[in-house]
Amino acid sequence: MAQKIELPTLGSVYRQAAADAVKSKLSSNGSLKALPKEAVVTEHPGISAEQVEQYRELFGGEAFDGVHRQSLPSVLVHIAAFPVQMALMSRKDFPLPLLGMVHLTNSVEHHKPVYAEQPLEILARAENLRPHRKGTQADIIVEISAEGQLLWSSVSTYLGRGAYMFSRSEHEEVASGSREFSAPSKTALWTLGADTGRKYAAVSGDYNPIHVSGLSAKLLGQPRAIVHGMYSAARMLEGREPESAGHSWSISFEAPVALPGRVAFAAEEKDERTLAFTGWHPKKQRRHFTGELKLPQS
Amino acid sequence: MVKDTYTEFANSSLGEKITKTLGLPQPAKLRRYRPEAPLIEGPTVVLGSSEASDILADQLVSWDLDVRRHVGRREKVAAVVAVFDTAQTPADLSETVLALGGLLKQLKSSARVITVFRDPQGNEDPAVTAARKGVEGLTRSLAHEMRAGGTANGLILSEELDAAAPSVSGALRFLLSGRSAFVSGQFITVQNTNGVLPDEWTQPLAGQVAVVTGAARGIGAAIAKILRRDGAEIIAVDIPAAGESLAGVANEVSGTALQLDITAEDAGDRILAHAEQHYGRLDIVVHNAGITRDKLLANMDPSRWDSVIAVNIESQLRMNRTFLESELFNRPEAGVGPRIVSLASTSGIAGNRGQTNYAASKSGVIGMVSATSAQLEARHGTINAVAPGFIETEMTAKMPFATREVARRLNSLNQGGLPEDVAETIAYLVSPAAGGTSGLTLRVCGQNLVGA
Amino acid sequence: MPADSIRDAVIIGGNRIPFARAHGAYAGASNQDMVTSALNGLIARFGLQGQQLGAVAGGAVLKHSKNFNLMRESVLGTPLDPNTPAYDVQMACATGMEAIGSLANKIKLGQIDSAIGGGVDTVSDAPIVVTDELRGILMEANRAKTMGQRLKALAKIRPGHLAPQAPGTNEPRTGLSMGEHMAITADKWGITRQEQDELALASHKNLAAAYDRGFFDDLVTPFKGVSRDNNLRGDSTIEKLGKLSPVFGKELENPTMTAANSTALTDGAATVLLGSEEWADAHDLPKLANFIDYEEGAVDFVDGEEGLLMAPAYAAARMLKRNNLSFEDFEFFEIHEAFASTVLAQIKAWESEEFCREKLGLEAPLGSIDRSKLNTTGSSLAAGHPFAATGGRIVATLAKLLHGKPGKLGFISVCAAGGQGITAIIEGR
Repeated sequence: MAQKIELPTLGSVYRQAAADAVKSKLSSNGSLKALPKEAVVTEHPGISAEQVEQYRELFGGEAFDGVHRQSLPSVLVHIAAFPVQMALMSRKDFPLPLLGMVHLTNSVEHHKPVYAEQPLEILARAENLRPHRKGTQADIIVEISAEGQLLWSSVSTYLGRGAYMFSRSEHEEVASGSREFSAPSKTALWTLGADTGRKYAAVSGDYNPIHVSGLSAKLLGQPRAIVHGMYSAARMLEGREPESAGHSWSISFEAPVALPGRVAFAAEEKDERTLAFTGWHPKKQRRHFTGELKLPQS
Repeated sequence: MVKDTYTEFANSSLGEKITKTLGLPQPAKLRRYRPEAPLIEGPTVVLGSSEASDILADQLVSWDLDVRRHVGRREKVAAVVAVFDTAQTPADLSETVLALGGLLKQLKSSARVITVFRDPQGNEDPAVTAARKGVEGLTRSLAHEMRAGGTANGLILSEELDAAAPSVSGALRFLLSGRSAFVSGQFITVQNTNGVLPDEWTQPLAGQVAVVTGAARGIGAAIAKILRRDGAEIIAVDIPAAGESLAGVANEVSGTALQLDITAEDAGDRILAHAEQHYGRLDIVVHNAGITRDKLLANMDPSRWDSVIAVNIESQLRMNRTFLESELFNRPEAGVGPRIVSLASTSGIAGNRGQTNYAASKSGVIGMVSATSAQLEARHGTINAVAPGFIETEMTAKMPFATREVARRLNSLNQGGLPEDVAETIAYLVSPAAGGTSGLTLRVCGQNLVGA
Repeated sequence: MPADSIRDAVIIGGNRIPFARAHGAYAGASNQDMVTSALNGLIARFGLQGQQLGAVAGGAVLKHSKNFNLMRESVLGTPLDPNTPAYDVQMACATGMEAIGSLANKIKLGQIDSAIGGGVDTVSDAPIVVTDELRGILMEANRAKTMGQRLKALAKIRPGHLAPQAPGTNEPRTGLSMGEHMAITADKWGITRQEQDELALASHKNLAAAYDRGFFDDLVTPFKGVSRDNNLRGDSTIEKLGKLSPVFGKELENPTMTAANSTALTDGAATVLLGSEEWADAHDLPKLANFIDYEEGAVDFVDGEEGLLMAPAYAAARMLKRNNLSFEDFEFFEIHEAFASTVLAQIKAWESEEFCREKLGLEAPLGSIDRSKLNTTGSSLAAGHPFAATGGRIVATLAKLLHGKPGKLGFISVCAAGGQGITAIIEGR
C-alpha cells in the first residue's frame, strides 16, 4: 500500500513543517500513537549530472565521467531520496514533529550501482516506533529501484526529541548510548570551515537552518551551526565504496560537529571485508560518530 | 665603484674653464687600450743616433706607425722614443734631451715619452753609470711634467742585450699602448732574449690557461676579464664565501670557478688538479688575493698580523713552491714558459701608517718575486709584481670622501686608476712578449707622489 | 636497442645554493631566482657557458602558476646555450631524485649525452591562491560579455571569499600534516625521543665538520650573502635538544617529535651535472660516480595501512633484489631526514623480520645499516629540506663521497608526500 506523490522539494516540506510547528506547540501530535502504515512513493527523473559534479566538487575524488567512476556514491543516492523521507515525516498522520528531529543512525545496503540520469522509483515508509531515553524514535525505510529492480535501501533512525509517547519506565529502560571512549590512532584530520554546512546544503538542498549558519542555529537553540550528519558519512565513505556496489554501510551519530571545527578520523581494517570508522573531537575526546563499511564478498 | 665625477666635470668644456681658472688639477681622460683601436695615433718620433735607435725605429715601422726622425714645428706628436743606450758620460745626454724638450709642447693628449738606456747596475765605470742613472732621473722628473694624460717611462736594456730582443719590442709596445695608461715614471728592464712576439697582437694569450686568485671582484675580476680578452682560458679562484660573484665572473669570462681558501695547505695542489682536469695545462698564475687589517703597530693583535701575512704572502710562497715543483706548470712551449704575477702595493714600497702588517706582506711579495725569478729563467718563465697605487675599487670607495679625493689626485695624472689599468699591466707581464722581464715590481700608480 | 649498448650515466658534479630557513635570508627570492643562481654556479664550476646540453630537468613542489615552465625560464637566464631544452618534473620531495634518475636513464639509453637535474623550493615565496568561490566568480566575470554581466558576477564577492589560501603541506587525502603522519608511524615502530635527538645531533655535527674541512667548497655556491646552510647548529647538544617540547603527535601517550628532530621549512635549490663518459671526457670534466639505478615506491597510507613516509622501505627491497645487492655492499647511506624518525623507522623496518617477511615478502630481514656510514656529511635535519632541492643535494654529496673509491656503492633513500619515495644506487669511480 503506497501513496503516489509528486517528487517533493525540501523547501516546501520545511515550510509546511514550520507552519505545523506554529499551529501545534505540542511536542507530539497528542492523539497519534502509531506510524502511518502507508508508504509514499515517487518517480525520480534521475540524479542530474550537474548535481553529481557539485557533489564531486565538494568531496573531491575522481570524476563521474564513466572512465574514472560511474557508480554514484551512496550518500548522493540518499540525498535524492531525502525529500521523500521528509515528505513522509511531514504528513499529518506522522506522530513525531519534524522540527527538532535528530538523526541517530543510518544504514544502507547498496545492492547495485546507481548511475547519473538514471530514472528511479523511490519509496519511503516508517516502521518501528519505539521509546528512547530522550523521546521517541522511528525508522524510515527507503527503497530505491529502477525498472523493478531494487538498487539501494536504507534504514534511517530519527529521534523526536522530547516526544515521550510511551510510559516513563519504557523510556527510561532504553540504555544510554554513551560509553567510555578511547581514541584510536588517527589516520586523517578533517578541517571543516564555517561554510561547510552551507556547502553541503547547496549540494543536497537540505537548508535546515541548524546547519546553515551560527545565527540560524541559535534560533533553534544550538550555540553554533553543526555539520549535516550525512556530510560526515559522505567523507567517511569517499573513495572507499566499490564501483560495482554490493556493499553496505552504517553510521551512528553521537556528539554533533560544531562549525567551524576539526574532526579526528580513523579508518581501521576489522577484517578483509570490513572497515570501521570513528570520528571524534581531536582535543576533547568526544566521539562524533562511528561507522562501518562492509565490502561485498569477492 | 665610485664614479670620479671630478674628472668627468673637469673634462667638460665649462668644467675645464673653471678648473683652469681656479688652478685646480686638470685630470685628463686617459687613452686606454682597445683591441680594435690603432696602437697609437699620430707621429712617433725616435730620437738618438745609435744602432739601437735604428733597430727600434724599424720595429715601430713594422707596426705601421708613422715613425719620424724629425718633425715639423707645428706638427702634433703622439710619442717620443729617446734612445740613450750609448751614452758614456752625462754630458752625452744633452743633444737628445734637448731635442726631446723641444717636442714636449707639440705632444698630443695621452702622449708617450719612452727613454731607452742601458742598465745602470750593469757597468762599473762611474761616468757610464752616472749617465745611465741620469736618464732615470730625467725620466722621473719628466713624468711629473707631462700634461694631458701623457706619461714618461724608461725602458732599460741589460748590458749586452740586442735592442732587437723580443721583450724589448714587447715593452716598447706596452709603453706606447693604452695598456700603460696609468703607468708613469716607471722603468721596465729587459734582461735577456727570452720571450716571443705573438702572431696576433690582440690575442697574445691565445691557448694559454691562467689562474687568477681573488677573482670575485675589483682588480681580480678585471684581471680575469682582460686576460680572457687577450685569449687566455680563466680559472677564477676566490674564497667560498665570495662564490656567488665568483661564479658571475667565471661565467662572464667563460671560465671555471674554483672556490678555494688560498691559505689551505693544499691550495696549490687543488689549483693544479683543477687546471689538469679542465684544461690539461697551466701557464699563468696571478696572485691577486689579498686582505687588509689596518691597525697601528702599537695596537696590533695576533689575528690581524697573522692573517694578513698568511693570506698576502705565506700562501703565495707555498703555492709557488707547489707550482714550481709541478710538471704541469713547467712546460715551455715554443719558447714561452710559465708566468707568475703577484700583486704588491705602493704601501709595500713607501710604507703607510697603520699598515705595518700589509706593508710587510707586500714588501715580502717584492722580495719574493725578485728571489724567485732565477728559478724560472731557465725554463723561459718569469715572475713579477705589480704595485697598484690609488685604484677606484669597492675597497677605495669605502674611504672617507676627503681622503679619497686627496688620494686620487696625489699623482702625476691627477686621478685614480681603474682596475683595468692594473689588469692591463699584468696582461703585458704574462704575455709571451714579456719573457725577458722578470723579478721586477712594476708600479701602476700614475706616478704616485708617495714613495716615488 | 640491445642491452649491451646501455652505457654509464656519470655524475660529474653538483652545485647548490646554501639552504636558508624560511622567511629569512631568501624571503625576496623566487624559485626561478634560486634555481638560476644554482645553475649559474654549476655552469661556472664546470665551464659550461654557451654549451647546449641534452636536457635540464627539475621542478618545485610549491610553484606559482606563472612558473609553469620554471626550468626552461631559468635556463634562459643562464649562460647555457638557449637551444638547451628544459622541462619541469614534480614528485613532491622526490622531485630532484626523479629528475636526476630519469635523466640518467636517458643518458644510459643514448638519447642524450649531458643533462642537469635538480630542484628548488621556497616556502617564503609560496603561491597564495584565492578561494575556490572567488576564483569561480572571477572566472565568471572574465567570461562576461557585458559590463552589466561582469558587475553582476563581481557583486557576488563576499568578505569571506577574500581570505587568501596558503598552500598546505597537509596530505590532501587525510588532512594530516606530514609530521602528524610521521608521529603515528614513529609510535607504531616504538622510536624513542632519545634516538631521534641523537640522529638530529649527528646530522648537525657531521654537516658542520664537513663545512669546516672544506667538503662543500665545490658543492655549494653562496646566494644572497648566505654561504652556509643557516639552519645548521654545529654547537647543539643532546641536552639542548632534550629540552624542546613535542610538536607532532601530541595526543599520543608518549610524543617524541620536536622541532629539532623534524626538518625546518627552508628555501633553496640544488643541481647535478650528468653526462655520458664520452661527453665528460670530451669536455675535460671529472667523473665522480655512476648513477646505477633507482626505484620509485608508493604505499597505501590513506587508511593508515602503511606509514606515509615508508615507501622507500619497499622500493629499497625491490631495488636491492634487482641489482642482487645487500646493505653490506654499500659504503655510504644517504637517507633523507624528513624527520629523524623517518630514517629510524626505515632502518627498523629493514631490520624487522616480521616486516621484511610480511610486507616485503623476504625470507630474511634486509639487515642493519652501519650508523658510521649513514649521512656522514649531515642531512636534511641540519641542512634543511627545500622539498624538490633535496635530491640534488644528496646525489652531489654522495657522488663526491664516492669519488676516488672505484666500485664502492652508495645508497640513497628519499621519502615523499603522497606516500611515495625513491631509492637509488650510485657507484664511485
